[in-house]
Amino acid sequence: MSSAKTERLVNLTMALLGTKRFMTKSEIFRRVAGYSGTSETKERMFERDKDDLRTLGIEIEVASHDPLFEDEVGYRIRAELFQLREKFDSEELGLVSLALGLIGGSELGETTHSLSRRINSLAVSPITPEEFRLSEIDITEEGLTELLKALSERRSVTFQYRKEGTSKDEDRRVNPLGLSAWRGGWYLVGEDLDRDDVRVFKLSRISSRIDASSPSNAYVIPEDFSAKDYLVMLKPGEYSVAVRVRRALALNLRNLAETVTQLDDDWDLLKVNFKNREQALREILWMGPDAVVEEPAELRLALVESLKKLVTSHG
Amino acid sequence: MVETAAARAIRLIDLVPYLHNHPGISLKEVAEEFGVTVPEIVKDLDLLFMCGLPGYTPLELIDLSIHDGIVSLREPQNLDSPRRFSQTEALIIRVALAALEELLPDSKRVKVSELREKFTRLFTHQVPNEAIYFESDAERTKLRVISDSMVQGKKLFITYMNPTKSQVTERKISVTAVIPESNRTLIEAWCDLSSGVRTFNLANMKSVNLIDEDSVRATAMDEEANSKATLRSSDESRFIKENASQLEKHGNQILIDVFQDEWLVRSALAEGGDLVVESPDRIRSRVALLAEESLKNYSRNP
Repeated sequence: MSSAKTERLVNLTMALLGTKRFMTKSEIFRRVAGYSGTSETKERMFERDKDDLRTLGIEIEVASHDPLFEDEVGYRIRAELFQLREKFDSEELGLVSLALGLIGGSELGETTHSLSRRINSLAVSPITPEEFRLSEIDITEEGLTELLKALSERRSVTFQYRKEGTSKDEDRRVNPLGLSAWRGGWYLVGEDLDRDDVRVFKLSRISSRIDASSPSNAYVIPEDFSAKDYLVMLKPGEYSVAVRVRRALALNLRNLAETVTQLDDDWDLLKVNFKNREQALREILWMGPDAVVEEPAELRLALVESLKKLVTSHG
Repeated sequence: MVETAAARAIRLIDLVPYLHNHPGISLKEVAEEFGVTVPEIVKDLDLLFMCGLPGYTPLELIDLSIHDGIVSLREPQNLDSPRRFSQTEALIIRVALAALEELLPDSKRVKVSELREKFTRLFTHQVPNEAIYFESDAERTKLRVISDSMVQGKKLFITYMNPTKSQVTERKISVTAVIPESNRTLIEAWCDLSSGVRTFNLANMKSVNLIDEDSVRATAMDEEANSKATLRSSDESRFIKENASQLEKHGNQILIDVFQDEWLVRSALAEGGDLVVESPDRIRSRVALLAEESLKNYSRNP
């Protein structure tokens, strides 16, 4: 890529940022360095430059320069929208740096690096609290970036969704209201436009690309909206299991249990709702000989299968 | 990948306030911060030197110089402040702060929570503060921090609730063992506060944070501590994914430090054969033994 274009884009940004009143196109061509050639060439150059800057997130205000000559539109960049003028103290900046570092290894990494650079460019130097060494957390989840963007700009999204316990994809049209990392999964809370109700969607069950090409500011999120309110209503599990456990053991299974019945001096019978078959299998295998599945039969079979595999591979 | 002129223009625009706030920084440091090479940064600076405000006399140009690998920016013109955060970027910061808040002990949370609200108010007030919610799988997160402390040989700062006395204490501990029992997970550690080895119930640890202090070396390390186990598994197994940072790979073989036999035994059981412990023998045979005993439960009662 030619450096002439880069130079022109920087000059255009600085000129539009430096002007108090709107600059007309002819003024731009006359005063900003880098515009040359026939008026048609200059025109095309400017249109492309303007699009480029907008794609980069730089807002260019357009207004009629003079109410009597509406065709002479003017342009400018408002400093308070382009530059960071808000005040942060060094402790606040340090916490933001620390927080960004925490998620820097994830798919948001590239954005977080750019954000950190800008935090580091503020006149105050960030002071990172030294006392804690936090482990990085992995917040990567497919679709998260798209949904964060859609939520921040309040755009409706469409995607295909596979409900728990089904194998069919359904089309969903949703106004995103909130996003949440909740106990190991990412969830979108949104208004389902076809069902006319607020629903919770697990990101890992979204089976298609997320389309957020609809207009921005399409809806308003109620000020008192809380994502947590909807997440706590999620049902814990759909996979029901009857499992026999030794008395006074397996507290983690007992915590999940709907009912506990004493069978004899050695064993209790628990009814547990697991999230799915995989979770049931894992939790029960972990208990070794202290937990025995009674029902369903298919889980018993799967368990026996796994145990045989374990004996063979470790014998 | 070829960089577009626009992407480069943004780097140039970001360079000015960064240099403005870092007088006397070296080219090498600037290149590192911006993720490009030193020659590329030099080219960027050469180009910036020609940019400025309409008029383009020396008074209106960006003014900078490079001497002995040190950059000095004398005149930033109107690019003295960094770019404002877009709404999406501000939301990413809010997610990061929510994650940080979740990891810190209670006493440190207030400040982060206030800062999160400040970002909501200033940049993304159309997305209410509570629309972003972060709650991790608490036990798993705590266990990961604990194992990090053992690997790195660093102390932990914990907030511990003593259920019988119903009092909360803050302690610095050096973990010596993680003991997964069937109904609870116990953490055995040297506790600075009590000057002795104490056992803590993981469920009663309200917060767990790594601190930059070397852990107190346990005086009596038993033979199983710090030994290595050899595993065989597919990359897809849950165990491999969750413990990726602690594994060493040598071809098909995977090595892991064993701090606690029983934890590895139970993990292997839970994987149902997808994770095979090849050595040491004591762990391998214990997995086989427990699996055999479990099988008996099913043959007795078909």
